[in-house]
Amino acid sequence: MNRCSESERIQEWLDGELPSASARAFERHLDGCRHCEAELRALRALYASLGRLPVWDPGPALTERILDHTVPSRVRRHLVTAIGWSYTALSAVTTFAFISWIVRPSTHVWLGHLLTTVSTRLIDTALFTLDAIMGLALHLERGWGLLEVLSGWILPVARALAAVASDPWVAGSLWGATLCSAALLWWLRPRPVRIVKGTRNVGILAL
Amino acid sequence: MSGEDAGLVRRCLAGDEKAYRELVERYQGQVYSLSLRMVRRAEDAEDLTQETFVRMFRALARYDPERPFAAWLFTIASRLCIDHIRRRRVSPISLTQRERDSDEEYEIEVEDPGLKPDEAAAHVEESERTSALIESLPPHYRIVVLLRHVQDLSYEEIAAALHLPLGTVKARIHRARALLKTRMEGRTS
Repeated sequence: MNRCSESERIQEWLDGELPSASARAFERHLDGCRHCEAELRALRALYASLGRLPVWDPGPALTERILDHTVPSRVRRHLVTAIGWSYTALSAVTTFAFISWIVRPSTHVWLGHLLTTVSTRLIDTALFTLDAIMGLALHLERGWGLLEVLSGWILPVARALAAVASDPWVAGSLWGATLCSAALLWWLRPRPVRIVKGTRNVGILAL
Repeated sequence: MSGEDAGLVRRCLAGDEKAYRELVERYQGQVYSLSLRMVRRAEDAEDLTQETFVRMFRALARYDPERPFAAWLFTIASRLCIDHIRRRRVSPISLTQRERDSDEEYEIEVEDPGLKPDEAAAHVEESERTSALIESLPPHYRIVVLLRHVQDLSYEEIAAALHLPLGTVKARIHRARALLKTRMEGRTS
């Protein structure tokens, strides 16, 4: 075991972290200290071993897997494929369920009843529409009479609203409410997302 | 950032899909090796490599070209590895103890429950022996040694990557090297 107190500085010297004066002093010490010399040899061997560590190739399968998840066109293609398969599966299940349901005898009875009801409702609707059109035609035939009827309904309401709005307090409140609403809408407008620089911290081992 | 990396990053940002492949092929081996040495399982290392590249490409628009690209990529990879180790609840073994009311730390002898160096490195080549020795280190020592000696990151870059003070990084690297040297000597003697 190395007992020399200077051996603590060998790593700093190897990393070039010692100030030049300290480095020169340490080099002089190295010349005469067998312990530090042995320590230095061992550390150099360690550095060399670490430097020769192999880089493993995970193979082309992983490359393709990574590209599938990163290249925009591939990501889109996978998304479209996934949606297509989901749609196909859903269509197949729906078609199967529909065919299974429609071949049941009770379905035929139910469908017959449904068709009768629907056709009755359709006829009723057609009659109602025809009646409404005829009524409108009769009103139009009376010319301005229709407009008089309409204005007779609308004008009193408009006059009442104008009378209320002519009050300065009411008018002020209305303008104030309008301006406040406009300001609120302006404040709620869509804004560009602020991007925080740097990578997401995924957590550091608490040591 | 090297000129080649800068060009690849620019092409990726411009939507050149060939550049994506070049960038992945250029760095996937190093990221995979780092991940495998950290998590020790090939399937997990592949997942972590994929996740590293997914996050890298997602953040590429925000990448600061003043930083070395490799250091940035290894930062993402090492954070993912550490996070993975935490999730797996692999408890790191602290090889140092601190005296109460003192800043002095001293090493303690403990048995690593992971790969035992004596068993793992028997009858293998030197690089495999070194790999086995590195794998015998606790994760917080292993990551700093790998980033320093295998990925060639500076102390400052390691400190930034792991969000650790510079002094802590230096201390950990020194202790890790001392441990490796001792174990290496123990093996050769």
